[in-house]
Amino acid sequence: MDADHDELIERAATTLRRGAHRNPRAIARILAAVEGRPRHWWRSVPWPSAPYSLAATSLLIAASLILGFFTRQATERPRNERELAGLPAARPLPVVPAARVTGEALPLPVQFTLRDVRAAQVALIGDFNGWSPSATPLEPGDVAGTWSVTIPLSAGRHVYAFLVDGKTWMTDPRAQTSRDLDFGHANSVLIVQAP
Amino acid sequence: MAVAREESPAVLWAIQPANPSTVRQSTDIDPAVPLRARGGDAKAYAELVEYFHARCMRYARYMLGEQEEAEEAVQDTFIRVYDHLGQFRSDARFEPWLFRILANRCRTLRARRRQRESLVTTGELPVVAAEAPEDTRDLLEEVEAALDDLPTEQREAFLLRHVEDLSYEDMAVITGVRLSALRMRVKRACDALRTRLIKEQGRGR
Repeated sequence: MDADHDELIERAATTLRRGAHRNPRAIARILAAVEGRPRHWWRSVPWPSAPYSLAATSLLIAASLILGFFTRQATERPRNERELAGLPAARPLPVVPAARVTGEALPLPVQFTLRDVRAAQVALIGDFNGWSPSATPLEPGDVAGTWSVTIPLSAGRHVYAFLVDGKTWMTDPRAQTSRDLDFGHANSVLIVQAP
Repeated sequence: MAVAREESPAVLWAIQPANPSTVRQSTDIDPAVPLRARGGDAKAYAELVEYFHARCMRYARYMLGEQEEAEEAVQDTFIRVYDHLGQFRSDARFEPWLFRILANRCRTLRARRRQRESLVTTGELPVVAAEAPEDTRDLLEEVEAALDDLPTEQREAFLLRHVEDLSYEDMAVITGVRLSALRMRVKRACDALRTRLIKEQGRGR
């Protein structure tokens, strides 16, 4: 490639760069469009200053998550410990019965459990709570290092993660991982189906 | 009730923090602004939109070739930014984060358009707009026409590198493509543009 040709590309690029024009009306439309939207992210996650290390995170994990769910029909068999033990990498944990659900439109109770012996606190963050680090803390269980919480979730697809000690974003090792193409975070995905 | 896991590939990717050695003369906004916006400052969010809107429109228009679609892509992008600022890391840079969202929107809209176009029945005669005579085209039109002929990946790489003046490291964050592949895309785009523009100039003489 000779100098003239480089100049040609630079001329083309310079010409294209001139195509940026301020458009106050379009900007106003965007600001108007976001005005009424919920502001969950005001309660933003307190990110650590150190780079996020997935490898380090995975070393911290000796985790399992159990989804406890129950139908309103007493005849329907709930998941038992044997079934849970059969899941890959799962550590059988007792499933705590949740409230019986009545009415098809009602949210369904889902239990999230994490095992991390080094964690001092664990929060469940997801699209259902606006990724709030304070909305859904997990409670320590009877077994050392186990944490759990049961929350009502509507049927559908939910994306979530655990926030350990307020700084480590952790996916559920047993769940399918979803990478949001836009934001880069690996999250876990759960699909709740109505009975 | 039954709970199922979604079958999706477990691909992990994280936005890397800024590396001082690779940050070019910055076109990025003051890092305090996105952090203030993330903290709930509506004025800071407005400042973000004001700062980046013209560049986003430029990129989207060159990628999509249509003003209306470009406006849609840019508006969607800023709304997604608003909705997900809580996930913006304080040690990340805002510009590649924003352009990643925008580039994805543009790709989605292009794919949607291709799908629409493929639905046109074969018996339907296309309406061809009258083109301006070659010799009346100015350089911008020539370059835009040449850009339009590039494959999407090459056009994207060329625009990010030569028009938005982003580093290859930032481009890797935006596109999720390796540096060597990006360099090849830019080179191929430059080669194709150069050939086309030389040809156009030859015609003009």
